[in-house]
Amino acid sequence: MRRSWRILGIFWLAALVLWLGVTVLAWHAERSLGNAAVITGYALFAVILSLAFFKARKRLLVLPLGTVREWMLGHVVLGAVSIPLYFQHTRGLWPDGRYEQAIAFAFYAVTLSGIAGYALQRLLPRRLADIEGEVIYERIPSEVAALREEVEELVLKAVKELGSDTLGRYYEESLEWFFWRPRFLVGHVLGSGRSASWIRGRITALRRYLSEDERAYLVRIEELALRKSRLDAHYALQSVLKFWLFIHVPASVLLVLLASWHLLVVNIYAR
Amino acid sequence: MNDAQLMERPRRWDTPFDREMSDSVVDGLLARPEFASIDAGRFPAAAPLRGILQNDCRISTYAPGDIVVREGDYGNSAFLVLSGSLRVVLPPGLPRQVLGRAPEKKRDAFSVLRDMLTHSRIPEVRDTGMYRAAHALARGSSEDRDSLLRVRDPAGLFGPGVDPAADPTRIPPLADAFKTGVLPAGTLFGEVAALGRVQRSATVYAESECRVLEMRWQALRDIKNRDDTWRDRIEQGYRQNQLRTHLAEHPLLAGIDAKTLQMIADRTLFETYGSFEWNVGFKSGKRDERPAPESEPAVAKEGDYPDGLLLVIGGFGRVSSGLGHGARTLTYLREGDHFGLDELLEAWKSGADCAYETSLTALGYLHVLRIPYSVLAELVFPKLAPLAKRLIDSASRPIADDAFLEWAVEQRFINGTKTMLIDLEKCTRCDDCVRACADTHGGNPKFIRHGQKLGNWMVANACMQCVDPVCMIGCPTGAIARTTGGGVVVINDLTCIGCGTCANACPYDNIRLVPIRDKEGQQVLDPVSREAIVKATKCDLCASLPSGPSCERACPHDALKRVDIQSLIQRAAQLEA
Repeated sequence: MRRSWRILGIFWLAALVLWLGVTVLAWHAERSLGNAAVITGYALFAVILSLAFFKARKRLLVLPLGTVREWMLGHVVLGAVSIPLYFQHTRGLWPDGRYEQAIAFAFYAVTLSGIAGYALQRLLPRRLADIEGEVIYERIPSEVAALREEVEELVLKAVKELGSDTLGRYYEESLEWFFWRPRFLVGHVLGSGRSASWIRGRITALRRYLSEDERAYLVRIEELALRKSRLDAHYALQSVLKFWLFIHVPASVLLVLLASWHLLVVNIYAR
Repeated sequence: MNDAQLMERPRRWDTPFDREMSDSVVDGLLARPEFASIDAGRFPAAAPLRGILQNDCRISTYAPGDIVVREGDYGNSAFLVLSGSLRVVLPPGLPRQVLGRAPEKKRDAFSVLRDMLTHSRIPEVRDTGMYRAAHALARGSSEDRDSLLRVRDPAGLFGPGVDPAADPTRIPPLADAFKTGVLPAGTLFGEVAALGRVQRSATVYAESECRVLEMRWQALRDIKNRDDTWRDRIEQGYRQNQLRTHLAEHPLLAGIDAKTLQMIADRTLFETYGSFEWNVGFKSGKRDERPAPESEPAVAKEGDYPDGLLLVIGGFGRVSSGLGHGARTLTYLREGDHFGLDELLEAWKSGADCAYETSLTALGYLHVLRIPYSVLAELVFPKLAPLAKRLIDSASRPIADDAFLEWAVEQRFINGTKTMLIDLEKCTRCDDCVRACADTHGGNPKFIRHGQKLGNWMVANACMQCVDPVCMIGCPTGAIARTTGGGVVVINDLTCIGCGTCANACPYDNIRLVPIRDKEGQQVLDPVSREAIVKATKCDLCASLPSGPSCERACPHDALKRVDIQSLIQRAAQLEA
């Protein structure tokens, strides 16, 4: 932990020096009637390329270039530096040209998704850790199916053994929907507890119509429903943790491509 | 994908230790007094004595100066001197640089990258031709051995002016600084390391040309289990050799001269508590219904009076003290730790009896040396430095802080030296660790990011590189073994027969049996039973990579660590202090 903070401090210092250097050079270029945008543009492009290399670094682990954790810290710091560099380069929030607007769109998409992703990565793991049990994302559908099977067998058994179809009818009308697939995803992401209160409400509503023997089955059904709710919470939170990358990564690729073409065009027309 | 390739199911002796062990060589061995006295009728038909000698043993010839075993190595063989003489270097042994340890074979970045780009997308693909080649390979004909004749500084080893190669039939004695003992023909050595799954305690080299029978530990185990003479011989040797080594190496006895140490050794008792096969009951869940530590074999009880100091030389012990209606785990002991010193020292200082302040029970099995109080009072305590901390001091920590330790002990995670511990409050479930593992192992991850959870901590199903690797017990081919340098437990895919002994023995379910496919992606089946050929697979700690475990390096959030639980607990205690 302490090592991470030390590395982060070094990276911030290096980033500050980089940004100050670029700013001074740009200011100097402007004073000499040069084009400051060339300096900020090249610096920004270099930063974007470095940021994009993070993904490759994760796969090329064998290269002795530090740990992915260190790269992650560098990625965050460089990402932050890219924001002032972008505004120094564009001198505004939204450029005029269509092509530049496309670049701006990609840049904002990458930046905002990156900030959101960073925040989510800090917040959601804590929420996940608080949920009882741990489950691998890819296994959730099969676990949900297994729970559904278990609860349906239980309901059938209750109906057969006790000769009353109240539990069966209620399952079909209400609980089947819940056990069919992950539910209350937004509620789980927001941490509203809506899923648990929905289960409690349904169980309480049914209890008055059941015999003592049926209530014993209902207790078991409630346990399974709460287990399902925990699986749903895992599904919702882990989906969010994965989903933001589906914006961040493609937008990064688009940004690199657009910025590369922009650099090429600018250089050709500058001559 | 739908077609299947047929391959004969691998069996125990498909890959013998040495193909040159002919019938006449085995006849010669059986005529020797060491084997002639064994009742061959006590061996089962599936693993007869002759078969063991033929398939699990090999004869090697060593030239003067050749190193047979090196101190610190992990080995799975014992040795019987057939002819000639060897010398064992007694403690403190030879300096590391003199031993000229061969560097571990590490893969370079290029080969890893090439594998990453070219590996099959189909899981668990093997080059089945390699198995046939391995079976056909004759072993033991040409080995590149390290020799004392090739050390960098012969003058430092043999003394100035001595030419170690002057007499080609015999190597001169080492310089006075090194103490050695002779191992004549008929001596058995290396059995402690082979059976006890511990490091070699001494270096052995050939003094003259000699022939040595190298026995896989499976051979030693089978013979020991069926012949009383061999069993007595092994147990006696274990007691005699190890006792002195353990005493000499223990920090409490550091600085004590050899004569005094011998006096202590003569009066020290060797005791074992619990069961070696602790993993069987642990894994099956058939445990004593009484709560721990009441259900564990008691070594010392709180309130009883100690009669000797207990030095732990193997296994694990739980130190506990009564709290309310139960018992509280204060710490656990493993090799190198001791128990009872606080009370004995106080008794020696005050002259009054002092009862045990804590209890000690065996977690699985526990080997201890008991040094009687009279010996301590006479030879050790007068020279002992004041103690910094007492075991009972741990009882002052808040009860709420016990959870992690109790969990680690209860689940036996204390056995791990490289446990994959994941902080779930940091882990984003991105699976970069799993991908990194797959990338470095031909597309096949060697662990599952899932496991036992306590609060925000999870111990994932990855090989923990146990202090007591019970997975190594019973492997019929010796496919699972420790690497020579780092002592990492690895599985040799070429000699693994997929019997599942290791996977069944692992108490933590960290070894998996995977059905293999050939290069075309076809399943490999046994031609007779039509069942899939499987191989055991587990985390090898990326032993072949210079950079260490990929999973740990790949974690972007510092959530995954490979840790020794004991050092983690000690660090936490220090932080709290």
